Amino acid sequence: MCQDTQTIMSEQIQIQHALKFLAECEYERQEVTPESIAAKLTLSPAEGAALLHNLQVAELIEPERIRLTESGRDYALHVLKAHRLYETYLAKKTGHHASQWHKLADEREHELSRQDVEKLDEELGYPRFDPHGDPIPSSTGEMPNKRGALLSTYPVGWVGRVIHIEDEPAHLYSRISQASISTDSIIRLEKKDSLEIVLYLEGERFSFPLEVAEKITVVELDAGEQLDETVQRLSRLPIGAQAQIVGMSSLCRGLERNRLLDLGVVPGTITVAELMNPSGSPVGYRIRGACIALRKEQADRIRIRNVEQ
Amino acid sequence: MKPEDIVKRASELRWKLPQDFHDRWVEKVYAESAQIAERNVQQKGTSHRLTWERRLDSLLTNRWTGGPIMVLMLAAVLWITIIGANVPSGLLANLLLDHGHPFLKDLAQSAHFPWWLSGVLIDGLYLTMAWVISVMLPPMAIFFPLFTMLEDFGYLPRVAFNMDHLFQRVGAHGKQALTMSMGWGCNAAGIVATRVIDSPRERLIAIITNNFALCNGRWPTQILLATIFLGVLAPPAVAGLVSAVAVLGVALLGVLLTFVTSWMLSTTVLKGEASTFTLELPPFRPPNILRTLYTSLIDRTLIVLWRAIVFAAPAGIVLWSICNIPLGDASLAQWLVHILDGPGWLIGLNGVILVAYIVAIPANEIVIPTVLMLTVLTTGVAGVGEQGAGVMFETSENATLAMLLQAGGWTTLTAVCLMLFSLCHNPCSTTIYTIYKETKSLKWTLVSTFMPIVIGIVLCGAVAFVWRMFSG
Repeated sequence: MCQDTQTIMSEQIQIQHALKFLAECEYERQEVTPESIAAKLTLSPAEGAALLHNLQVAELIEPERIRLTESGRDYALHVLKAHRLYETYLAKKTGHHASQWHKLADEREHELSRQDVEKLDEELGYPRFDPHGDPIPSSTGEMPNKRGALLSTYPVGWVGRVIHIEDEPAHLYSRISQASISTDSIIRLEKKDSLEIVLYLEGERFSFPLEVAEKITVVELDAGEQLDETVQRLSRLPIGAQAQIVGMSSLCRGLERNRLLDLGVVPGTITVAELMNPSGSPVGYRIRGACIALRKEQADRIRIRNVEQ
Repeated sequence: MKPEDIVKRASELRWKLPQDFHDRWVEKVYAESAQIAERNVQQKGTSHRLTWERRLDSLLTNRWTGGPIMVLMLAAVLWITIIGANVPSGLLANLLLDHGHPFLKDLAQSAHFPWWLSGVLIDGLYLTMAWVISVMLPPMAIFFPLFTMLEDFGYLPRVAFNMDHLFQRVGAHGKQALTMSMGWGCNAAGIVATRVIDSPRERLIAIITNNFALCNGRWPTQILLATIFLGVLAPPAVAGLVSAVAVLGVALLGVLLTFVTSWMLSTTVLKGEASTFTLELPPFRPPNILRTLYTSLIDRTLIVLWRAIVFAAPAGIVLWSICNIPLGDASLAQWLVHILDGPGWLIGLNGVILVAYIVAIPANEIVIPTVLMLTVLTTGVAGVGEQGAGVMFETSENATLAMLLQAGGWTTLTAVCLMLFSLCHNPCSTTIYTIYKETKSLKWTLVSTFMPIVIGIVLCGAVAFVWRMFSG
């Protein structure tokens, strides 16, 4: 099976993917079996066994069981760091679509040397988390303890904060990112049955297939924090209405975020929706004395609170 | 606590901060500064829009009135440019070509210049430059101030606002509607105008696709060909209409190609470039006419004209030289025309046209005069263009022109393919240089240069193939 993948994937790349998978499982405290590795790398059982043998010979995993050795962990964390930093780079500095990040990083991670990774880390300002909410190992290889639990473990009516969104498979990830749910959204689980879940956030309700609940990791809110029912998205503001900007979602990053901050999209600014394109996007908003037109996707990422006229 | 413990504690705490702590922090700094400013800065007057501004805005961006007003405005600007440029163009041509050229020839003769020197300098360099100035200067000096006035008034940002959803679908910025219309005046100026697009990806798209906006140097070619080849196919009563529709069709094809190539670029080679969108809709204000005239003359017209002259001068020398340097029993130009006849035929054109396009890389304005000159040179038709080899000319007699071109083997297919090729070929050297100056990238300059010509060759080749298949 999968002859193509196998021929394309050179041995070194295969080893790096396997190590990355092992490091991820170690972090998630999941058991690793020869079957799960073979399945992850789309290899036949025989090929999977050969790969494990190679890893043992290279002393990257322990001889008796599937567990990273000291040098194996070091190597694995390097690949993991390269992957997550590169995803962060793609999110912050380029225009590639979110659904492309994982694939592009999977290709590029093998070409980055330790020096390249250090340089990229510095250039990006030593980020701690990648755009999906996964921690990026520090230069000493540290990662925080895993936090939170899957959304699927919580009952209807539960309120909490999203901290991680799984980026595979891509079609589910696109559904989630289209709803502008990010790794800092405060959500409420409105409905859950055998088919779908409904999430409430920022004045909107989104319905997803049940599997999505397995892709979102959430934590309890901090003491004193609560879901603010008055917070909405700027895109919901009707023409002529006035609102106060609460902030920008973390989906608004890099160049775009800086531009909007410069234009005065900052917490506390009062804005009025003034002019709408007949097609509904863009809409002109009065911001600090100027009329700025923003597209719908941008207005989705700006949080507002309605105020008295 | 030992220093190592402190470092260890710090790196533990580091993970406890919220995920997007850095961004939140920056946001807080901005919010704090905004509050300080609010407490301490007093603003005179209100920033509220006046009622008439609100009414005008809703008129200009309305679903029913926005589009028609836009088309009317554009048509008016183009009409004023074409009609208004006729008189000064005629005057300049009269001064520089009809009087200046013979005067300089006489001067050269009385100074006992050798024939080749007066040929290179006066028939080549001077004539080409004079041609470019008289054809290019008046329309640009009218088009750009009009455009700048619309911009000053605040109308153009509303156009970008209206058009944005169309451009968004192909991954471009609404302001590209402006740089495209500016390209109808001059591509080099249109490319300079892309500076208003602050998102790197959308700006590159606007630069690379600007060449599909028919520039001022190409409108005359289109009009001429449509009149003498397509208009005559229809009954005389509707001939004018048919040729106008044909020219409009080519211009609209340019718009279509702009959208198609923008989409192609944004989904392939440019998809990784960073992208952002903001569009400011400034308040309406009366345009400052004097300042507008000054800045658009200096910033747009003169800079572009100067570059065109700098590039046209050597082209004049080359043109005169290839017509007058003999190689065996024919001139260099005749050899080139002969060699390029084959490839030209494949795409519905001929050797004369291809040579003209190679020589006329510096300025699209000289394509038709060069084509005429080369046709006389290769066919030996007598009665037109008597000045001699390497001397450009143009005639106002459409019948004479048609006769001359038909003697050169032109058919309706040639005219159609030339109209398409005039839309899709490499940008003029002034534009190419401007692209390089604006992008600072050899790669994007090459893409902008060769993408249109490849499209042009494919398009003309396909049209010629299908045409010949059906006409037998």
